[in-house]
Amino acid sequence: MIEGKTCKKKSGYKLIFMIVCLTTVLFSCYPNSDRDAADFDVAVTFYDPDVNFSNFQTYAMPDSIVHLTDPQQGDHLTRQQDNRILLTIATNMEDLGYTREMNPETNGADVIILVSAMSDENWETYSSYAPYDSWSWYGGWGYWGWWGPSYNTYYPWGATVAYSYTTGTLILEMIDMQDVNEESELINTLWVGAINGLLEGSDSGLEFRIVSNINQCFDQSPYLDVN
Amino acid sequence: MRYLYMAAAVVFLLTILPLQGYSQDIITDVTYEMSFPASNLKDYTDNTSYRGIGIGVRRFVAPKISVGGFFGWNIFNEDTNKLISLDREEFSADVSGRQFRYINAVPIFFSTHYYLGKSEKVMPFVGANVGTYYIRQRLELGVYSINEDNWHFGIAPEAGIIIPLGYDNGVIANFRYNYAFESGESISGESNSYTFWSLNVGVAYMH
Repeated sequence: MIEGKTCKKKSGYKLIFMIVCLTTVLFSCYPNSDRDAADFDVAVTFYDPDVNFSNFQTYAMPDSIVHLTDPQQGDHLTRQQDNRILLTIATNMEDLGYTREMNPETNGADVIILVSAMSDENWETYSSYAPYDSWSWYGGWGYWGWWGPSYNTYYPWGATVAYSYTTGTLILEMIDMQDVNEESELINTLWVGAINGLLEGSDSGLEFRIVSNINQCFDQSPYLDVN
Repeated sequence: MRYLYMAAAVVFLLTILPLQGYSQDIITDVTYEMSFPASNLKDYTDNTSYRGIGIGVRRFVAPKISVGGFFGWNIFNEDTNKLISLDREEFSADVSGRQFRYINAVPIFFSTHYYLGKSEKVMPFVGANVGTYYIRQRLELGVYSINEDNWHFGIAPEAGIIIPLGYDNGVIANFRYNYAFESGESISGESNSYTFWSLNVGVAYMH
């Protein structure tokens, strides 16, 4: 009888051990790979599905990009990529069959492309418990410490780490110059392309990423094609 | 998740403790589950899941019939650059960029099984599971993430075998079809009824 009870008890422990082992297989609910700055780039497009874009043939675009800045955060953006950004947009619009009107005040245009940019500084914090020594007690501090060099400092109350990252957003808005409500002072927006990503890396790398994502915005908007 | 564990514990207690077993035979099994997405789930994460676990408890109420409960956890994930179209109540948009897509599915079932034989060498069975799936759908895109958590009514028929190896233990293998009915809203705004097949292997403890 005693042997039987012992056998069943061992089998129970085996089962518990198996449960623990199998649970560790799961390890992570959200497995992912290492990512670099480009992997955080996002291109989003919105559009009015009721609009027939073939009704538009001409467009105008300002020769500058508006920076939307928060006075408290300041402007983290440079203007080194402005010309390249505007050229990329113009190239895509031409490929889609639109003709750029260089004198819209006189000749008018069907739509206007407005380009704006903003940056956002984000802060994150996390706390860690470090029961082990983070700093070694310098043995040369013997004067201050009657404790010898074998002692170490540690943080039983944990430590809080703060880090920040800056993101940039480029917004392309196509507005309908044929649909302007002067009473409410509202202009209908037909299409929006927005690019968001980390403001990290070299200037050339950043420019490459911006241009790639502008192209992506137009690639994922085949309805804009008026050819 | 705390409430999830509590719910799972309640299921097992309600299933096992009050039952008047025919022969006091109880089978407890733990299985490693490999799952294959289908239908809407395959559209969202098109990868086989190698992260799955199942824990079941059965009590015989007749020579060839047992009732019990089941608790599982299956993780689906995909690293992709596919364009995703969001058609939500708040907005509609096309989004591109490197995405990490996840589905965490937690089935919690009442189960019943019928045993086609009960020899010393093999115990084939068929079973029916009815209960709920807690499903978390997660999308990580850029520096953002979107979660949709829903409880789904679900069913899961299965078939398998138990191979006794010793006095009170053995190997269990089964194949289960999982279907979670539509519930709530998905990230993309499309139907969130989920289907997946799971192939499960593990150990069974009979006491």
